[in-house]
Amino acid sequence: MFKKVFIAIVLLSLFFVLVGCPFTRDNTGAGPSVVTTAETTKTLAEDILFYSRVYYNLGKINEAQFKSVRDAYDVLYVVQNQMIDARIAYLKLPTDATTEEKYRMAMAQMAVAQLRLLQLAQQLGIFKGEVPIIPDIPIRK
Amino acid sequence: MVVEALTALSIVMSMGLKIYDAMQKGKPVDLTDEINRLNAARLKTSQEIIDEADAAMGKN
Repeated sequence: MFKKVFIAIVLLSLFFVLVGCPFTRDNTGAGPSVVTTAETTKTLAEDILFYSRVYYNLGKINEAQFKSVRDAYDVLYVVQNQMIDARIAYLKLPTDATTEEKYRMAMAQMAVAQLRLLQLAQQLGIFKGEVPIIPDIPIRK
Repeated sequence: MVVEALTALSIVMSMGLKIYDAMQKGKPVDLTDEINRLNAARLKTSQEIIDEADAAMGKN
């Protein structure tokens, strides 16, 4: 009885290891993928700027407040592009220390720019963890 | 019994990882998909988003 349970545990663990390996191991040599991070940032940042423009058009925020969101978005636009370029360079040459360093720097700068935009959106009431849906505001498609 | 089971589990896990690494060694890595997705994740310019919002509200 115990022997059968033991064999079952071993076989089960082997199954999980073999199934889990492709998801946990990275074979590019360039660390875990950042595609999802970049995609999420794109959706989030574009939504924030879109709704801040809508809020500005509705008179809920003033020009200076809208400009601060736009400036933060422009900074994020630049650093996200730099991060993507650095990531592509690092993927193509994962053994080079310079490309790795550039990529890490770009990631850090992007995190700061993301935080700045999110902070502004929260301060202005544009974004509170979910897309605002109020009757007179169009939903971004 | 528990100790033996855990030992066997760790041996099997490390063997699994070694087998996987050996399988991946020398295998050409296709980066096209990741590069395409990264390029698709580039942000639109702020002017494009502003125009989009204005158009959604019926403004020019």
